Amino acid sequence: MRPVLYDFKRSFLRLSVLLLLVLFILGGFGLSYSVFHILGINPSAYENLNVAGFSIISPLGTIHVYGIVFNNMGQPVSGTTICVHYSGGVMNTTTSSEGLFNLSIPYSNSSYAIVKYDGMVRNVSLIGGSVALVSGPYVGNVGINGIIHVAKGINNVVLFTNISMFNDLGGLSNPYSPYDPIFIAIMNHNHLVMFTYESLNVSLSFLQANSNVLAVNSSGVVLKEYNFSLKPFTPVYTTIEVPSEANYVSILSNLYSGNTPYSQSPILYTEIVTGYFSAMGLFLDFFPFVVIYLAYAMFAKPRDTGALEFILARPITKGELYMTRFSANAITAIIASFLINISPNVAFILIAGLYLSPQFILLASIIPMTLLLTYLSITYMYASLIKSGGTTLGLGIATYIIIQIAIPVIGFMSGNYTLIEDYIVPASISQAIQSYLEGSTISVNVGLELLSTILWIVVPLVIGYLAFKRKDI
Amino acid sequence: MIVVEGITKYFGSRKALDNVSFEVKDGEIVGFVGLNGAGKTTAIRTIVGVLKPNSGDALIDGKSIVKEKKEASKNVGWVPELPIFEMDARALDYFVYLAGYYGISKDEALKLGKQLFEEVGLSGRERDKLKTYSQGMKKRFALAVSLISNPKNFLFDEVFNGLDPQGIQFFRDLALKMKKEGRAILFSSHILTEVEAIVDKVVFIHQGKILKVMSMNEIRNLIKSNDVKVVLNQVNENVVQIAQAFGKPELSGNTLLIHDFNGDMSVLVSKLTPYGVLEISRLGGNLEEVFFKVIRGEL
Repeated sequence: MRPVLYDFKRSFLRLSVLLLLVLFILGGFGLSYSVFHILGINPSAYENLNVAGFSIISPLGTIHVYGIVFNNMGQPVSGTTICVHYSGGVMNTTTSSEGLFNLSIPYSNSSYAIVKYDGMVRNVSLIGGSVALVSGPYVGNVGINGIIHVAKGINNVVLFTNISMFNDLGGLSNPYSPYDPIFIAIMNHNHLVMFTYESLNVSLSFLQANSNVLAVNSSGVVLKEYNFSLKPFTPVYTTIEVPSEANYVSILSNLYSGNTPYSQSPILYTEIVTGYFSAMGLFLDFFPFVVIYLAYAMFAKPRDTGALEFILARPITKGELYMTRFSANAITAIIASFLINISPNVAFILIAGLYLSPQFILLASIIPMTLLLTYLSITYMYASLIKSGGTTLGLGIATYIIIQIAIPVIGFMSGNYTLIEDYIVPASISQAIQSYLEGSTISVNVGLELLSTILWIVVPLVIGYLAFKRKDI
Repeated sequence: MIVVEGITKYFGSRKALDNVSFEVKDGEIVGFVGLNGAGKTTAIRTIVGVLKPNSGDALIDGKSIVKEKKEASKNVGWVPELPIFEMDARALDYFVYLAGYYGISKDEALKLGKQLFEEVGLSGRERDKLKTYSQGMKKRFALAVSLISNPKNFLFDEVFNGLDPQGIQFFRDLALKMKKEGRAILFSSHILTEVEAIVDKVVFIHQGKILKVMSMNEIRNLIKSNDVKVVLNQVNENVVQIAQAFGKPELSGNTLLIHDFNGDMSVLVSKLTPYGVLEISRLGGNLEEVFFKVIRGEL
């Protein structure tokens, strides 16, 4: 077995590390749930159950209701119970394998439907105007997000929707307007859902355009175009490829055309990501203590007790021994960084069906990873310079506390807090990563932050390496 | 073969080793004797590459421990006086880990580990944590690890310290077996009577300096008495018969006295091994006398 793998196994499988990892993973789940509450995001904004459809009001005073129920991945949900309430009665039905339901009720200007599946509930008005207020989850206009509308000048058709906060492509018209003949939503992972009450040829184009450009052929560049032939009350569930540069989407049909801004990230993503990093901050406050302890247990203590001597009598140089141990602990820190980012994402999937991209997880993991590697490197440096394991442990902890508390205080007092946070403290690259993932403007010099972050890891590591090679073990 | 070439080692401003030079040839057991703090352990730690000398070098089968550490380390085994490991590890796991430094795969190491644990008398204790091992077991474990690469050179540092008679006998027999196999063995000890029985040559070290290197024949010539005392674990008539080939035996209880000893003590020990040699020494003048004469500069 390669010694580095064995050292990694021994460092990773330590009871203390495993317990803390389990705690942090569980904490990650808990915090993910709390993110939704902290941010006050209503369940209807993310609940994994969506409803849309049409009410067609006949001149004879009957409402024919045709709807679809699908999840946040844009997949139909069969077996959903639909309870339609109207003046003087309630009518029930369930959805088909395509997520379809339809029924007819007597006309009532307060008709509404309650959609229930696996403990989830959504309410939706069937007739437009004010939404019926019934007990259960929030019913409101959050459902309008992610819908593309094509208006038609008839007034006996009502489009009704109540869906989660995915791509905000709305804005063309009021979804409760009685003029929309088509429902289009782009759900998680670019899963497209379309539903119409009459035959339509629809072209969906993704554009890269300057802001406020609304004409397809003016200054926008068409990056991808999809054409659909839609049949009445026949839902389309498909996955589309959205070019990463696309910032506008154009809808063109034989009835209507128009453009709307397109965001690469679902609205839900934007809403939760800020809370996500706030929650992550709690991990970052505690996890460095774990790597400082790891460096103590795997390097400082065996050096102090003399256990490294017997290893050094094997075919290995001092430099290799140092790097082998450091690498093993670094792998532990890297895996831990991924785990504490993956666990909240699993929770987001469970809560809202929201899949964050591998790129998000990778970048978000770099934040704890760089911090942990910094304190691992610093503690290894102390262990090389000082033989006492206890002193090394104390110095590692003291350094962390000083850097995390004292330096920002100095920043406040000197008026250079931003400068210090952006470029001086360890893992300052997290500022740029966080801004990028939050979609906010990055006002820092990313190159400098990266350099500072790398130096915090590399400089102590090199000092420790050279000292360990030079000094008697 | 181990060649120590002018090693000088400082700890701060204190000179622990001063231009130490000697050699251990293949098929030879060399006693490395000196008082506590004389520099024996420092010299051995330097020879195995744990300490870096300020000057000088040690050549293990021609490979420099300073410049070719990895190659040299493959050819030398080391059993420290007080072996220190990462005590929370399980013995066989730690063996597999250390075998990794020799480029041995996990499966091979497990197989080799079981074989060597049996050879060194640790069979059945493979899954135990090292912290549960006694001092003697730790030394046996260090030996098993040292045998991973089947090196031709061995360094035993005060290996008899803290061992029971069985442990002492095990390491003494092992050294003799290794000598027969043509290995070079450096055997440090301050229990001079123990070394005397098995070594071919003695390196005297005092205050970090090599005072004298003498063969056992030279030492024997200096020792006036030629009677040998052997304390055995068990005796029968064969013991006397064996001893007759070395002089005039006289058995008293478990103690065998051989008057007018004429032969090689290591051969005698080897022949008496089945009876458990608990102690063997020359009566009258012995290595200890020679040692103090060397220290006093009388030799």
